[in-house]
Amino acid sequence: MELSTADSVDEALDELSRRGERCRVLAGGTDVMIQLARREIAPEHLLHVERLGELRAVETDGSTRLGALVTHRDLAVGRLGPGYAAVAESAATVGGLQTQVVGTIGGNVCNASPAADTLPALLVHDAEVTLRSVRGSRTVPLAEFVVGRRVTTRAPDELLTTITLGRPAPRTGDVYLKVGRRSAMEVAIVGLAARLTFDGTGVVTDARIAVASVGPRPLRSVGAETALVGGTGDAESVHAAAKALLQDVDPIDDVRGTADYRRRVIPGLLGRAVRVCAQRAEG
Amino acid sequence: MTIVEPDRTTYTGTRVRRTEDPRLLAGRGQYVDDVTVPKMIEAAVLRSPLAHARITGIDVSRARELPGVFDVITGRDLAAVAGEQPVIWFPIPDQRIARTHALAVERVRWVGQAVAAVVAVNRYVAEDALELIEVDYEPLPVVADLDAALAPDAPKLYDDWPDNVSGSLTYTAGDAEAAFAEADVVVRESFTHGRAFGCPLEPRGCIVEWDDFAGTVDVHLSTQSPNLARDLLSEVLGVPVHKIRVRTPNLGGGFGNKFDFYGEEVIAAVLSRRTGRPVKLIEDRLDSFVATSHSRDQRLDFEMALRDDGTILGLRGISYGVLGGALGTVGAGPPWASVLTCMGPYKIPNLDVTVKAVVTNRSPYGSYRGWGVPKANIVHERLIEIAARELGMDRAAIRRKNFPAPEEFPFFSGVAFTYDSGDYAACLDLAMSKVDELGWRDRQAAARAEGRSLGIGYSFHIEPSAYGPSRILNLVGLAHSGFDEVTVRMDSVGKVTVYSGQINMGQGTHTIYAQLAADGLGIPMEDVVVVTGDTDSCPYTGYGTGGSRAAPLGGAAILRATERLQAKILRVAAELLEASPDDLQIEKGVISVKGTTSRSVTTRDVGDAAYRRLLNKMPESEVPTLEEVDVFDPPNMATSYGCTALLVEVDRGTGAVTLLDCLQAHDCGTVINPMLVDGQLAGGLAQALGGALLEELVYDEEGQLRTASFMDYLLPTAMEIPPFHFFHQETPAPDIPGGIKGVGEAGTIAGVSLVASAVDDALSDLGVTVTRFPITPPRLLDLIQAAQTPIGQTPTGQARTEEDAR
Repeated sequence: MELSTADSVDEALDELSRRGERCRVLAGGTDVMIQLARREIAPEHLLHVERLGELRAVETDGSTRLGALVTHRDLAVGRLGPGYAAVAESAATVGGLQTQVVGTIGGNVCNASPAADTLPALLVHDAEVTLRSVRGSRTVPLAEFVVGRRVTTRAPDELLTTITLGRPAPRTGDVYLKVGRRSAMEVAIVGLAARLTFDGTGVVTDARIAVASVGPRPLRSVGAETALVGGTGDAESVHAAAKALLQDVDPIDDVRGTADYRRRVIPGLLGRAVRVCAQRAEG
Repeated sequence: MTIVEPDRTTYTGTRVRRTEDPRLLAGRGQYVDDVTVPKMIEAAVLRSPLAHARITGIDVSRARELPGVFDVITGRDLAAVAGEQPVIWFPIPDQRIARTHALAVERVRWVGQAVAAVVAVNRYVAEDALELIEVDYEPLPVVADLDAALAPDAPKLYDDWPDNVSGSLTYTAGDAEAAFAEADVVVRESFTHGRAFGCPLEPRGCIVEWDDFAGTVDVHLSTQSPNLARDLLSEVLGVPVHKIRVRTPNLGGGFGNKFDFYGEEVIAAVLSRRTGRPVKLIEDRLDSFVATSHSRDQRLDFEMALRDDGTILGLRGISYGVLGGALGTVGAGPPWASVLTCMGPYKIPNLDVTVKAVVTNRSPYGSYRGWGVPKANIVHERLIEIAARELGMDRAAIRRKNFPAPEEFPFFSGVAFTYDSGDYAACLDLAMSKVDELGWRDRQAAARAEGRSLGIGYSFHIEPSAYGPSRILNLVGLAHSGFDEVTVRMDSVGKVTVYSGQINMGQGTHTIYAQLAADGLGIPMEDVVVVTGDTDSCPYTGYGTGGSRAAPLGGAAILRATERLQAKILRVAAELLEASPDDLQIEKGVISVKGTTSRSVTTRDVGDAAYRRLLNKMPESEVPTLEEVDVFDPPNMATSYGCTALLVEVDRGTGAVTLLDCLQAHDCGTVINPMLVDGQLAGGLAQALGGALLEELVYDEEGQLRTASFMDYLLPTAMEIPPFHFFHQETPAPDIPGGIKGVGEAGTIAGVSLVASAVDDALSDLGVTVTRFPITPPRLLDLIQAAQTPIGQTPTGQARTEEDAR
């Protein structure tokens, strides 16, 4: 196995174009190194992109754009500013501090784990991902980029460079909640992100609900969102939203929890998320 | 009581900082993997991917051909030159002992069982070579858990056994049947504790150098029991003990796991002999999850009979030990010990209690801090609380009612142990008063008013420590001793070295030994060094560092040795001062005539007189040198105890438990160093809280270990652990000079039932009873929803919202 380090994005794209599937992109290494150690992957080549400073930028003028190398720690300490509490909260639960300071958002997205903490948070903020290759550049919604368990539409010669988030409207609250056994450094049994926008009378005008660890990939529940819009976060609309959400998920039994457990905690988690969003939208 | 107290205690009882810490914190410690021996090569072990299979063929030829490989061995190669792995505990008469060689010969009986080993220029090459070994397995039916093992038509692990039961033993006292017949109330439960292990952050490792010309075997080993390891290496390898040297570098945690004797030591020895090179064999993390002793795995079906005033009349039940595919070093010891201690701190006149040891296709069972006692604690503490609920009694009152009174000690428990001393009720009262002072009940009430579920839990535990009187240990089935030996030597400049066979693995043994020696001699602590970890220079300890032995037994031996050595120092000083030894005092290393300040000599003068310039200084009647050896074999063990209380919050929507605050009132006799005792208590509690809520080695029906990484085997972090408050009372151990009782396992014993007690209390309106550990959120949510659901309906939760649940 060879290792090379790219000093510019163009150089990285050249390398990817030449090597394609034989090459694995290495950023913080928090997933790749573990997969190597477990012999789950055996690439011929590792392309180290961590030194590409231009992919570390965070721009918050106009739309919010973050480079793929922004770390979980950057997000956890709130570099995206107000309005992105869910992103900060989800990043703060990824691994321990040592993982957070090297693990990157781009890596987390491309790893496409069913249990990825940051994905639901990015999904409720209408994230789009930009991929570049020597052939050009494309931008796709995150929901269309991650298509299955550890599967994305990234072509072998593409590098994820930027993630773009929507601007939160006024009177919007968002949150990421995680069910697990331990307070930190744990794979979620269920992760749930919500973003709700209210009008002046407390009626939900826009809603985003996304969940992780309850199916092959993190996903948005349009049904749950629809059920919440027009309500006030009242028990009835939450109840309906929970029903819709449970229809969208397809959890499995694993060593962390059963499918049944996951289904049972979702309604309560959603209710809690709605309450927090309402509080945050006021503040 | 025969308590030898030092005349003056400058250090004992004070919060002396650990002398071990600065170099460890600065990264200057030396662990076994830091040790390099000239010409050393490195080994790796191939492990079975199947839980139960016959080995029909092993082809190592391709591995042998890999450049850099020195040797490859299989079970047959090893069995030709080494014996089976030893077992030292035989508490159950006529027990079938499932033995195995360090490498499987014809059959594998657990995932991770060692099948072959490679030694190469380095670990990288050795691991690459492992991939070139081809093993043909013929799978056999898997016995994955206790029920599968006990099923009438269960596949057998050992073809010549009638079933999968290794052995069974019943202890009785009084007449349990009559007691249950006349009882007003009988409460019964089946308790399950999942598999867990000590999980030391430093995995195990060794370097073995077998010199075939000298006939010596030189071992660096991460062990808590170097003397035992040397004796067992001698048995397995057929090398006389005096030709084996075991050195122990710093240990990165042991927790009982490193008490046991493992096959890797033997594999490395055989590889070293065959290659003529020192061989290093380090366990990596994945190895550690399958190859380091597992523990805790038990089911305990017990019932308690009581009068309606809360008096316990009887206890009966079975402790099933879910052993692995072969017996580990301590055999069925831990589940057996659960039976010995299942009555806990209570007077229970009628007992009928059984241990049943059962083999399964899981990793071998072994030592883990607390041994069988944490599970015994689940039995007596859970049942007494269930009984209190049934009788409408206060949880503290029912406990207090059944304690032996202080004047009833020494108190025979009814099975094996005689508790030496204690004031259990005072300890309970101390804990209860602190719960009041800390305002937990107010917090609970306030939270409940907000709709939150806070609970307060209690656990009263006993910790048999200072294992133990050698002949009694032999009598109950231990093929080893329990005494402790120390050498205390003052040198030619009056400084002191204490040599001990105990191992320092984070408890602060070196610090407390220096405290005791300094006080025993009347010298500054800075003048004492403690040496452990080398069988060539350090004395013999029976057993090893385990069973909460180091402080009481090593401490007692140091007090006895220093008492005699101090007398000799004073006799030499008397010659120098032309005075009578009886008139002398020694303080901070200065010896003078009591009541005067005029003339004095120092230990430096005494050392010089005893070793170098004896003429006219060393009394003619004295043997040169200043050295005392003491061997302390205790007449009885010492029983520490404590009352622990915990405040938790339960999330009824998810079943998650948050630990809010914790206190423990504790009595370990004479406290040598309150800071280190607190550290032992806190560390043990943290470990138990992890065991109660997080840690579980989960096997599936194929006998595959599903939680063999830190991603799934969750250790507690500082985020989960609550603040701790410790309060001490001191009831000296009557049978241990110095009055010291052990404290190494207290927290692990107290902490598991404790969480269940607190969770039950938080959910008291639902009548939830926690019986299965660890208490994971899915398990607890099941209990909550079962309690909320009217009988006849099953909770589906499909469209329940939190609001619905209210």
